[in-house]
Amino acid sequence: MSAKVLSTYRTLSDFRDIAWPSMRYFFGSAGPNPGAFDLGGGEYVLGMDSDWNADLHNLTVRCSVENVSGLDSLFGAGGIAAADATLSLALEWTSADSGWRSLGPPVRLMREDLTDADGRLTLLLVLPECSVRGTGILSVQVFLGDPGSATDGDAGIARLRGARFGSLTGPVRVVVDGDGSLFPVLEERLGSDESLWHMRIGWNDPRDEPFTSEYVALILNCDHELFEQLRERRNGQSRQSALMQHVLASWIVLLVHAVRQDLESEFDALVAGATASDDFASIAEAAAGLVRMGELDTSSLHALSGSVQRWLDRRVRVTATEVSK
Amino acid sequence: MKYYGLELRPMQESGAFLLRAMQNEDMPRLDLLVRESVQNALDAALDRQPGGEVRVGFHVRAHTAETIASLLDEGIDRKMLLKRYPTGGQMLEIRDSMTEGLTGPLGFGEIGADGVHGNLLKLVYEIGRTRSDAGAGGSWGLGKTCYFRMGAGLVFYYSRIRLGDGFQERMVASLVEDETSPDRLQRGTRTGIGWWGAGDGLTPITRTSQIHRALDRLRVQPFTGIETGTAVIIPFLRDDLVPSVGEDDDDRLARRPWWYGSQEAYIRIALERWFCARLDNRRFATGPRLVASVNGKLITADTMLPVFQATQALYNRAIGVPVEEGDYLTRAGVASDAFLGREVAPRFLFAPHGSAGNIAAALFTPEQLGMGAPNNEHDPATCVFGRADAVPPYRPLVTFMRRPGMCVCWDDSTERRGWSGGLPGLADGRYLVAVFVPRQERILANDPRHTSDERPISLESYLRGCERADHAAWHDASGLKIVEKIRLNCGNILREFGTRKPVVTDVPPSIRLARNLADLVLPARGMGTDGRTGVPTPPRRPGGGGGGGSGGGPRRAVPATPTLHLLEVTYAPQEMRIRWALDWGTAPRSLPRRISLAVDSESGFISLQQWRDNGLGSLPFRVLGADIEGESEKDHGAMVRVASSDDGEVILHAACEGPVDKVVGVLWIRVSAGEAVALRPVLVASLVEPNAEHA
Repeated sequence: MSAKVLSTYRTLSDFRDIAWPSMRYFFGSAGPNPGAFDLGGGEYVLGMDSDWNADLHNLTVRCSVENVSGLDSLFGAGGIAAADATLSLALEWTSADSGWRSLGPPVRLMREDLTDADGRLTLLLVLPECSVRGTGILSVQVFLGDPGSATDGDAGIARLRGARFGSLTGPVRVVVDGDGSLFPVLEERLGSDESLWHMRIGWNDPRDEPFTSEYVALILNCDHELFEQLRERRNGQSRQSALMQHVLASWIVLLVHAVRQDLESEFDALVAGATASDDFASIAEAAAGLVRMGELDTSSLHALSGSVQRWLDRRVRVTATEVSK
Repeated sequence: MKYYGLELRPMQESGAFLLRAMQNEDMPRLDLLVRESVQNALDAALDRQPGGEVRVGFHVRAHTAETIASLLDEGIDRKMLLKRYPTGGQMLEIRDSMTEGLTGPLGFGEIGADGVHGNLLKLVYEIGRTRSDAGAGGSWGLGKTCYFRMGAGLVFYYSRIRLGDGFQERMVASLVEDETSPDRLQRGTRTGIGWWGAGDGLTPITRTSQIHRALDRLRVQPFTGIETGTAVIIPFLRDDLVPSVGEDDDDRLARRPWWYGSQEAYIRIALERWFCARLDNRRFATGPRLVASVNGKLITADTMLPVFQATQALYNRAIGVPVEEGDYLTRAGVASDAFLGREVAPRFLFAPHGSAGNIAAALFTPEQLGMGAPNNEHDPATCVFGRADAVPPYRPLVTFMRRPGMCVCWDDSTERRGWSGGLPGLADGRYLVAVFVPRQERILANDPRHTSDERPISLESYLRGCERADHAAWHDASGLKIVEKIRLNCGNILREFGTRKPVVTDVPPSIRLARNLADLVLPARGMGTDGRTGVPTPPRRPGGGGGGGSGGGPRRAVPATPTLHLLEVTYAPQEMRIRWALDWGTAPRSLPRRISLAVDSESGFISLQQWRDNGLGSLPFRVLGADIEGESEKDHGAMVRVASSDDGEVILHAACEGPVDKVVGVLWIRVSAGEAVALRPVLVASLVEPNAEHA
């Protein structure tokens, strides 16, 4: 079955050869900067070098619409609305992953505004915390605000207030959740007498549970006197403090050791890449991946510890080089 | 009684072998004996339903060597017997009633076509035979060898069974001893194994008068009335059966628990230790309750040691019966947050998916376990293991059981893969006691290594097969990890329960740190759900990997059904003119194609027929007409007709002989005045099935 939805009036998809405006998107939040990054091709990702968290912070989207003079042909005969009609432009978020859509406040646009609208036409949308998941689509939707004086005349123009004309430009994809790696680290207030860090194990079977902080985590104690020394050094050559590096090394040793003890020879098969699940990375696969990537020596605990530290040293040097470049 | 000495033959077991058959030198012999004898009694219960009872009595009393020697007319080295036991010895009588007794054939010659060996042959004459029902306690048929290790190796069996409309009594004795021992009691066999009975010695005595005379000498009461059951009588008990008490960390002799003072007292506590879930428990779920006594003194639930009363209460909570008013936990004042009741549900174990069982656990202060004045009870570790756990954190105690309700073992491991998941204990000095009760009826999920014609295996049956002769642990069958998964899941639950929850204030997770550490040591994708890397990579397909083909990118197959394209829409008052193109599709060319008109809605397309049937008012749209563009008509001989203006359909026929590729045409739609302008028409292209074309 093949189906095509029509409209009883002209929509923006009927116009191909006009000069479309350009859009610039800006992402912000009442909390930390969401760290948006333009991957190109109409795809933005969030969270680059940022503490922004969709569960805790809202997302504000600002869209600057420029070069709107080409929209003149949308007004009047052969257009979508009467010459004296008012169009409403609004930023829309739709996301099947979130099961949610939202429209920002509309901005009115008349034909006479087109010449001096550049720089003033800004659309806003605020997406509350805990409302965005997965991937969402941003678009500038055009509606009929006021039909103007059009009653008869051109049969293809819209006459019903609120009629939707479609998206002004191609959609922009915003990726909130994907399959990007996250290290399972949590910061908790455990009291100044507790240790600086520990490994929390919550798995039943490391082959069955994903490598997320729900099942295994590096817990950092915010109340410990050395906690601040764990913080990354923003301006240093390395992005991690030496203390953090050592904590990380010790944690990896514990993880690999624990998983290896659980799985025994099966772990060696995982390291060799003989088995892997398609749907998610389990704790066992993560531990095996660490051994593979770091070429870790698992022959003994002290050999493992040494090889993890050497690997992290190498990684920190490489990362520092990448950052300086 | 007549003697039959077992001759030495190829592959013949010997007495020395049988005495080692249990392969358990760790557990005190009296504990092994209690576990084995009570399990035998429970397996033989006449009434297997919950609510009934099985009675087991243990009696310890003195006897003379002459008494025993007088019963054995031949085959015994009387001189050696009197030399070894000049002052006689202690005799243990284990007597179960409300059980079926030692039923079945009296000898191997009587085994019928059904091949049933019966309790008598299995217990007295055979090794390695056991019951076939999955819920039975025994699984190897070796447990009985523990009888021979209690004393000189001599055991009398007396039983009364139902036979036809009446009863039959049976009595037989056997001796299993190390055939290489210089002070052995049999000289007529090189196997160290012999029996005393009637006739040739290999069948039990069944003459009641003879049996009663023997019982009288042994001071064993015969079963009377409608009573059936079995008495196992073991003379010449070793005097080292009560183990020595453990030593504490300071190498000082620990305070000696009272039950180490006599065999009777030790047997009583062993009964509590291993059968606390079933002992005098009217709520026991999988069979009759156990009524046990030692030297005539009944063991009631409320007189058990506190840790065992607590275990029974936890068992009752684990099986999900309504909490008994005033059960031990309630009486002891265990707070609700110090109790845990949870399902143990490892993934991928059962078909259909479900829990493996339930775990119930509680945290007890020393006072709640009666350790303070005035009771001054011993700590749980002493009650269970005979050695004190002197310094907090006290190791957690976990026990688990199958259908017979016997604690398979008590686990106090603090290993991470142990039953308590590496929990070292509670720093505040409380004791954690936990009980896991499996759901016996669960069916194990198919293992790909098994052939498909294997019968489904229940969890109970699997666990029974996982026990060795001493029933003291569950060991997974090779390659399977059923027990391991259950144990790890229990451990996870208990570790979480016993670990003091950190007082976590509202500290947001450090996403940036999580990302930065991931950048350092993890691959960019695949180890989390971060969106930094853009749209997720689609999961790999089994057998995929590159697509194949002969280059030039994937070829899109031509669909079988027609595909509609809109080329141009023009508007006139109350009308729309749509210029369209239709890919004919690969379905048989002769099948007509249809372009139908519908109305778009939030819940899908509404055909005009549905619109009318649902009484939605006048039709908002209607097909006015359609036409095929000249080129299409000329090239393909396609014809078009409007099937029905009401139905809003256009039917296309291909009249040419050759293949049809694409047809281009126009369609006029009438738009009703009024609210129709707020609706959206939909054109749907489809095949007309042979019997579905409208006239």
